[in-house]
Amino acid sequence: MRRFVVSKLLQYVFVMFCTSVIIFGLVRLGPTDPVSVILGGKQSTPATIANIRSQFGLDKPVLTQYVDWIGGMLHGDFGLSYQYRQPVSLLLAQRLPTTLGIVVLATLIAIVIAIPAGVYTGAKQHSVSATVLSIIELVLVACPPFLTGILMIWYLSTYMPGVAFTGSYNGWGEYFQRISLPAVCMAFSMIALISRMMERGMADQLNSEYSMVISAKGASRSRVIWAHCFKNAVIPVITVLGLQIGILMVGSALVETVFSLPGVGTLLIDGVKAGDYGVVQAVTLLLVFVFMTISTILDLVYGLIDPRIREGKGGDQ
Amino acid sequence: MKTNVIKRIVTTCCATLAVLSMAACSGPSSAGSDTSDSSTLTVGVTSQVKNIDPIYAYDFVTSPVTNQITESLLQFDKNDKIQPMLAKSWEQKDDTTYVYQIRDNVKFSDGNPMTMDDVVYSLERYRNPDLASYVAWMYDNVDTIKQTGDWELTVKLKQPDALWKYASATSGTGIVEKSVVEKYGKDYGTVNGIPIGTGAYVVKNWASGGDVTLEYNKDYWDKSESGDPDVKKIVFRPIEEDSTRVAASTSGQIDLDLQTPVDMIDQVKNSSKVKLAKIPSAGLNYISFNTKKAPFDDVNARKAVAAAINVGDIQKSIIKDAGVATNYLLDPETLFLFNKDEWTSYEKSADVVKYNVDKAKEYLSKSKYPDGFSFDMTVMSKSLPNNVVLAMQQDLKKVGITLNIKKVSNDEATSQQFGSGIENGVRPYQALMTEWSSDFPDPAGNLTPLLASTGGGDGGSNSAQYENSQVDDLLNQQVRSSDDSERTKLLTQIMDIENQDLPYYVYTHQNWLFTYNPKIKNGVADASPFWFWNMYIKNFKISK
Repeated sequence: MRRFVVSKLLQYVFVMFCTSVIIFGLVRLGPTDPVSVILGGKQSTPATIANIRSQFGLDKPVLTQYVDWIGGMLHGDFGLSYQYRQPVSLLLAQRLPTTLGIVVLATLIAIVIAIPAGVYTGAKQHSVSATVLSIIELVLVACPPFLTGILMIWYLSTYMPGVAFTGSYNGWGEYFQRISLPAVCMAFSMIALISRMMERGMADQLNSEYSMVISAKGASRSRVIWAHCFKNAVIPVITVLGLQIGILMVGSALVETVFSLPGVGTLLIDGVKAGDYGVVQAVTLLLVFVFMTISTILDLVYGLIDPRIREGKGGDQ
Repeated sequence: MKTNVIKRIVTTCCATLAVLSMAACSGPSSAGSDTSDSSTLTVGVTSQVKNIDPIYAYDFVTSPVTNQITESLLQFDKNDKIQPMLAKSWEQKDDTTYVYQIRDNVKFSDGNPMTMDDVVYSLERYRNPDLASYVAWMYDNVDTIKQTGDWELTVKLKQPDALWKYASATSGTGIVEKSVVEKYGKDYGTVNGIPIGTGAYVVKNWASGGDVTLEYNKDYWDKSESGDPDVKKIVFRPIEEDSTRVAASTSGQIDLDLQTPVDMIDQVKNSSKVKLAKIPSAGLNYISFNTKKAPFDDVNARKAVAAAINVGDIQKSIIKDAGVATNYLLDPETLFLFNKDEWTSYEKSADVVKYNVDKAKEYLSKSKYPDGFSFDMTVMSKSLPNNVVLAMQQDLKKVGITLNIKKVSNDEATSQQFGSGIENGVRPYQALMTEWSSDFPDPAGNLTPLLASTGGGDGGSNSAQYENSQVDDLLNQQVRSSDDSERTKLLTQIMDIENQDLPYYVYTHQNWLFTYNPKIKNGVADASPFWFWNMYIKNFKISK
């Protein structure tokens, strides 16, 4: 068991190290000279350029820059943004509420709609209503969040001009107002995925022998569904939900852009467009960190639950 | 047991959602009243506001914000003439000496009086290499900045510079409170170190990456003109996505969009709720031919391209309201503020390369590439230049010139314009499609940055890497002269040389396109070409 945990953690550290090197390298392959970003893309003199290079440590060898950066990241110092001349950690802290709000709300909406829908279609397979629901889900999964967002803005601005869809927030009311529209857009494609998984699981469970036995013993249909099959069917869905949160963090960039909200996603996209190394490398590594941490925890938990996995024998039973 | 847990989770989720959706529905009414209030003006801007320290105010998002908060020694009036502001008068003692009489009754918005110490300190900040101000270049010729009397400031230049007088009317001389700058140090200008100025508005609230809200400064020192302004509160709202910003305009969520996207003009025109203002600018759209690199080290190759492009058609079908087609003349008429008649008659008679396919073929046969050539042009990712370049590609094909488009991000195009990627003194591109706008109401504001050979290197704006010692001499002569007719003569001589050398192919003089709520009666439709220096919202008139 200990060997399993240690090897997982070593893997985790190794992957984080490799991605940090890749991110650091890739950012520097970009065509934009960071000095021109710091100078705001304006005319300047060679003396000013030299001064800026030394101020931001850009005159140091690349290896030293990398060590400085990683050392800082480990101590919670994410470096400076070239555009803002502010610590990236501060910029992140100010934008995290928007992104997290969108992700959490989208997940909640998806759960509330997708799980009952999945149970229903799974339990009533081949019925007309279930087919209609499946078709709706198909349409939803084909709606990219940014397109839904653009359509939503078009509809609101044309027919409901009183509804504000962009801007900053003051207080909770405005906060929810800002994040609710993007969250609905994000939820759409998730609803389809989750309800599909739920439907498959539910159908499998209902067709299993144990559920037939329970039915034969005289349990009501709803008792069979909710008290017995649901518990088993929902477990893989929860796993997928966990992984989806990482994906949503990244996908949030799209809807934040469409709704022009100040979130982590727009910070990253802005940074990429402007060649702001400081922001791009810190935010990307942070996203990788969130993703890796969630999946490592899931791996460890599986290992605890299922000895076959920790012994590396998963699959062949 | 487990069923109960799951049920509870589901119930909690439902309850949360219900609360959230109620919050979402109750919101709109408050936001609606926000903009219907006639004393509040919401301005949509195209990117997040990053720093409002006036030494970094040099773009169309930051400048409109800082110009409400900090004030300069002088200002441009509606007709772009220089007028007093924090200096009550000024005088040019000799070629290199400018003396300003500073007002003694000005207060910062925190109530502290403005002192000469603040003034000298503020100007010195622009020259401080550690701060790397975006407008430090305005101070290239400044030698000393000194207090020479109780309220007298003297700026001495290293050499005569006809453009300095304009610099002192831009936010390049914005006065800030020294103690506040020192208090915040590195954070000054950011959300954690909000600047204090002498302007008519103060920062009330600033959400990082989001809205900047300004409020009227009740103790504003200058109420001479109109008393309290109509606009008591200004919200600058970043909406980067073009379609979202236009939707926000047409649905009344913003009152003013200072950069209407050209490809969405029809939507704006068709809306009954907003108006479109078209203001001629000092801006140019052009191709920079890299004169240090084949094929454009050959003047006939440059002329062949210029003569082959049907700019009239491009204007009619693509550029439309965004600009006026031109026959290669660097300066637009908006800059002809002195000796206007001479400039206009020069513009009419100038010998320029016009659209003429036969001529284009003739230039080509005289060039090193009589059978045609192929070249790469770097183009930014904005939609308008991309549509224009496609039309150019078709025109050029007809005379045997192949144009390969290299699309890069806007920031990348800008950094190349200022010499990024230069190797052994040669810039990387063969041709670059870009834009420039004079910072001052003076023709030299377009000619000097684009033509002075010193601007060809790293950080410089001479994106054609054009070098002509005669032009350099003439530029130096005009900048040393303070006689308008002499300067006009010298500048038109430069234009004559340009029309023959053709380092740039200018295809349009740009227009500013503002979308505005018709409740704004005064201040937008009559904005100056240099609104980024002198759009003072305190002067706006709003119908109630």
